[in-house]
Amino acid sequence: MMSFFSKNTMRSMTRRNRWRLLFTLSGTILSALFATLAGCKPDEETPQPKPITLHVIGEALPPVESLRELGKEFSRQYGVQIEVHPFEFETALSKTLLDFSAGTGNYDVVYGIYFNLGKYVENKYILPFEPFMNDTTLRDPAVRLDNFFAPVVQVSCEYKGQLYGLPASAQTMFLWYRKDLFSHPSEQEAFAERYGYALPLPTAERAITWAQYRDLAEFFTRKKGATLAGEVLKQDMFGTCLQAKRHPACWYEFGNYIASFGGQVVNEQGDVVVDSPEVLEALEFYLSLRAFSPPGTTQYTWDDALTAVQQGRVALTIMWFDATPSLEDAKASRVAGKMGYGLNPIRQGVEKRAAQYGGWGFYINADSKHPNEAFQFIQWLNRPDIQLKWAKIGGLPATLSTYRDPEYLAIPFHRAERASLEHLSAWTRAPYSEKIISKGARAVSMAASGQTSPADALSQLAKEIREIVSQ
Amino acid sequence: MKHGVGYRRQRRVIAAFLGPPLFLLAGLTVIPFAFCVYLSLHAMDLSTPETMGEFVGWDNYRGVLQGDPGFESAMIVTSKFVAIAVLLETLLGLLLAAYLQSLTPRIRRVMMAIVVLPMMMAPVAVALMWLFLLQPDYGLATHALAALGLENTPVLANPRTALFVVCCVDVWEWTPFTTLVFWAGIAAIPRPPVDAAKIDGLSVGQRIENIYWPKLRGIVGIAVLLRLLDAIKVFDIVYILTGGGPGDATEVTSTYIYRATFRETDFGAGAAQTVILYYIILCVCGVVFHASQGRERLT
Repeated sequence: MMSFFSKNTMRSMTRRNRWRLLFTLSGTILSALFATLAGCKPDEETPQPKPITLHVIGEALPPVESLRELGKEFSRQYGVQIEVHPFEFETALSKTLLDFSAGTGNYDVVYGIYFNLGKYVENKYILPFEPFMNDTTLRDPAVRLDNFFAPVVQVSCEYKGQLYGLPASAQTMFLWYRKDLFSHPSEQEAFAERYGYALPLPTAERAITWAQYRDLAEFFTRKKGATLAGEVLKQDMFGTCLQAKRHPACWYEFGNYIASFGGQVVNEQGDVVVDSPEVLEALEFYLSLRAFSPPGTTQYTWDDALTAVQQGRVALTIMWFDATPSLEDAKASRVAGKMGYGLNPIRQGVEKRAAQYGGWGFYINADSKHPNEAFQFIQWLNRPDIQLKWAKIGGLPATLSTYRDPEYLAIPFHRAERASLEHLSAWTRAPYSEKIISKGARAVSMAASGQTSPADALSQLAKEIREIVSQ
Repeated sequence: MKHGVGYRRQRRVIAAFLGPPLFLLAGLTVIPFAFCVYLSLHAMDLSTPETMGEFVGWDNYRGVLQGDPGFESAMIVTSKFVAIAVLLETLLGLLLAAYLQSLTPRIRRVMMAIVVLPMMMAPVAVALMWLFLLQPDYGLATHALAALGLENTPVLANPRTALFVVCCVDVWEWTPFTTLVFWAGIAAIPRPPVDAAKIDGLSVGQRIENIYWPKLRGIVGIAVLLRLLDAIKVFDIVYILTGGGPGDATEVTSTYIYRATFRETDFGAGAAQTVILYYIILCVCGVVFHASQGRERLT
């Protein structure tokens, strides 16, 4: 091969062979050119514009997945195609961040978790909403800010007094319980006999106490072969289910306990108080529930907890609003139609109602090539009529008008969510919020797996958060 | 020495053929690594956008080496993982290779195809498969353990067993690699000295010491080195099986760096941790390579 193209070789070729070589090379190059240009058409006199496609990224759960169906209606009305990209929670966050950092603008509409709002704003990743809201050519008068739950807008969409989006989902954690077991006469009788008080039934209006929660968890924890509601158990039954994997899930779950025990991570004066006696008591109580949880609970996230409840192995737990449709889906759940929903338990003496908030907001990517269309889509999704439609196929509305609709409120878990939104407890939206969540998840997981004591876990966590906040 | 025209032309042709792959290598490794070093010397934390891009010198490195107990813990866990996994893969690989060599060629071909199956699967697929097998409520492996009298043993949820189980998954996946490498080495040993040793009445241990080991030493060194490099960088099976938990029990350096970079969005600290890890890998490679080369020079 090396000697083929040498000068001597070329000289020694006959004239005929040189012409053959030249012809072959030319033919090859021309064929390649033809193959490349074959698909090209000459410019027409009036070129047809390509339809605009908006790319939406979010977490792979019913609210985002149902946007595919809802998006078709938007496309019919506005002529803009909607392409939805749902991903698992952490993957959705990573992909969003990578798209922002790279400035590629692959996603026009971002279904973003509320605690990242500060990070997105301070790094100029998303556009402010005021210019769009003030643009009369884009504004839809049916969408009014006073039709939203004010705390939801404040937490998910406002940062330092400016509006950066509209609510995408308004969701909290609240109590799930097996209404069929709680209502069974034999179980009620046995509970009263054992604990000396009537088996409490949580509702959207009345919260049970944490002491009652613990008694219920203990009462309903039974081995395979024991009797439950008149039937012999074919598998172990657990009173409750913790989500104690080293994952944001455990920090979110523990957030309910922190708030209702009267604790905080950072107080109003800006002091880190996560190592306070209230939070320590909350953590010790939380860890005491491991005795009534499935054995693998230190590897459970919200997905595993949902599966355990769907399989009928858990009597009560604290879980997310957006997972509730899956629980009531008879094709996926053995307990569809058997569940009850109520407010989170309260701490006797503190009496503070709290529901950990996990809502998302719709934001417009600063690198989007179609910001006006993105705004129109976000605004359209928050119309009262669309909110109701969306709610029926998996959406999590934030509009007051939806929660006043009798048909919507007829569904029990919607009532529980409505009540919980009144007491939402949210993490900070400062740019360092995700760091605190990561450190918090580690601390709770270390304590839950017995690698460190609760006091040491919180002490180390407080030290780490102080360092983060001081930066 | 004056080189002729032919030599210079040869060098040009070699450069022409080597140029594109070297360019690709530089583009895919050297330049990204240089950028990583650049990031490690600057403040690249999305949590503090006001200082974004500022040159901070060694601050990121100081933060990792002096003020980060999590990184130290991750290094210890990684060391344990590497020691257990590589040792088991080497021993099992040697045993399997010796066993394969003892088979007839026809049976050996069938066994070889079975042995290499785990290595053919994507690491993510392996991790997911074992995650389902070890699922505490429904996993087949969990039920098998229950049948052996170990009821309710969620091995991945227990900090005392989680790391060992992750090592076992790695051993399951990569022992075929060491087996193949060692078998190639054993197969290359000429028959006459082996037959002569048998006739002379040498025991198995003496044959291993005097015939097999001197020939296999270099190959074992290379296989151990390759597995060391992979084990130090392990990420996928740990991330999928345990996510680094429970607690810190299986948090290896790679998952720690991933968390610092993509969860806590501190790209500067993540880059500094990556450079430190690279340096450690370089030192380990140097030691192992020197040890295997040095012994070869002496023999």
